[in-house]
Amino acid sequence: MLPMINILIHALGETLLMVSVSAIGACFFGLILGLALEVTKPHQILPHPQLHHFLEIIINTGRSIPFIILLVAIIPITRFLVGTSIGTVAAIVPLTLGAIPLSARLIESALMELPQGLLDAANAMGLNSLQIITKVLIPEALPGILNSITMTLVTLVNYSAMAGTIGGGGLGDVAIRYGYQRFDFKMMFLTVLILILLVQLIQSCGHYFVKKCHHR
Amino acid sequence: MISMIELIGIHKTYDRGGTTFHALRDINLQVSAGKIFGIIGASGAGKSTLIRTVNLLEAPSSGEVIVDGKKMTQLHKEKLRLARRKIGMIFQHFNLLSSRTVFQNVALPLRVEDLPESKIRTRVHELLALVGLDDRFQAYPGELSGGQKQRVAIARALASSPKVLLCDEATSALDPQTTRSILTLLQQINTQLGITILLITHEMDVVKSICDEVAILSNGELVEQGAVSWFFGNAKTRLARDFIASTFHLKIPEEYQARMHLLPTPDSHPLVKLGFTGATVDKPLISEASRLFDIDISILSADIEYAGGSKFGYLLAELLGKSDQCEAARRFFIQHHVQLEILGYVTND
Repeated sequence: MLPMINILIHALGETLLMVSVSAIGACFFGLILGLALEVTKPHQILPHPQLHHFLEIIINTGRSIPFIILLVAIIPITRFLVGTSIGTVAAIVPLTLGAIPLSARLIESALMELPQGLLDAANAMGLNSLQIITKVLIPEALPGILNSITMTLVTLVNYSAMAGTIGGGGLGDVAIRYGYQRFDFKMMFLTVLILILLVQLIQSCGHYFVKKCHHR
Repeated sequence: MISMIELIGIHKTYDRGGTTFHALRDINLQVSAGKIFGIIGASGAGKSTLIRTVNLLEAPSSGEVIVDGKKMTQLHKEKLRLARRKIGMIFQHFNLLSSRTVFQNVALPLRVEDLPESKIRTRVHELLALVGLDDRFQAYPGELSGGQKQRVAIARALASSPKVLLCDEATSALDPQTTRSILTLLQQINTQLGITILLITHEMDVVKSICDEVAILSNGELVEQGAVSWFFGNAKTRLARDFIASTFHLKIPEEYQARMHLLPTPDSHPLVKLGFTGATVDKPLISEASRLFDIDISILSADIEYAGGSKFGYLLAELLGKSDQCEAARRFFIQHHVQLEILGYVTND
């Protein structure tokens, strides 16, 4: 029993490491891309059709590559960035890259929810573009942005299971190696249970923070 | 009179899938400093586009916008941004930041001007006291009523001490009582702070209650404009008259409606609507008609005001008398330029 628990705790640690580091990266770049996507639209503060179109293509391309393929396809990039393509740290690279387009889209839609009138008010007050982004767009869309982060985190928990295929470790890897390949149903059940609890926890925290900053 | 806002030959066109849509055509407008100027029009007339050209939220396709002597249309991006701070604006849907408290909303325009925190605090409380909301400074907009939200928006618009306040349908989302209180506040701001106000509305009541001058916008063109007192008595266009008529609220009482017929019967008498306009001869016409034709005139309801040197308004009345006498009275009224409409014939019982 004890070795089993040790394996699970170790795997959970790996999952948490992969998910948290890649989530920070994905949400950071996702926020920048999502903002860029939104503010370059025709009626926005920095209209730029060409840039907008370019970002659309990049993000759609990213979204259309299945994660399991991305994982393998970018091995050279991973190796270049972290010196190896195997292990938990190596898995963070494809996880981050895979989640950026999703995060960008989610954040864009959170920004799209804002009424056009806010921009009118901000422009009428004489705010500059940076002030509009930092004082109006981001704070006003914060509940939506927090929702996007929650969804990105849950997706990353999901993706991290696939990272096992490149030796990334984590709970998904344990479920496949012990549960599937060795027919250890107890192990399979426990990993899935932990994953369920993890997702529940992420979602509850997400709801809590959204509620906290929602004043509408 | 110094003009605070001047629009010269403003055109605005949109390209809508290949066809050009003319939102504004050759708009020429002057708003004198310290006045309240109202632009009225039906929805789709281009009112919003027009008011948004003043601070260039909407850039005109051609023409010139001058505010407080500054040629807005010739300013570059950065200069325009600074010029906008001297033009306050409020909106139909308030456009407050929901993530910020009342205090923080009003403080925002001051924060971006990098004022010291202590100055910001005094100024915000001063502004909130002016709009009568100082006790709610910690509330979030979501906790306020529509009227309170508009008060916060007004305080925010006044934060940078503008010389001009633009009101884009500012009372259209409010109930009549709240509308009145907001209009009173706008009037107070106009007189106390000397701020020039340009407002757009679709309600003539708004114009009637606070504006000094009014212009009518229809299909992107200004069809008639003038001082409000003059306007009520002398407006010539059909549209102007319709708007004026819309400020008078006359209804036939239900009890009468039940006894009303379209055609005369031997024992019925006409129910008429008399319209007094600037063209109407200024004489005590009702009592004169009563005397001359030996009929009784029973007034059911009346809404008459004295504006621009003449009586203006409508009244509903029953003409009680023999039918040929009533007919003579009808001609008498028409001769004296009273608009007369027979609404129906009422029987007694």
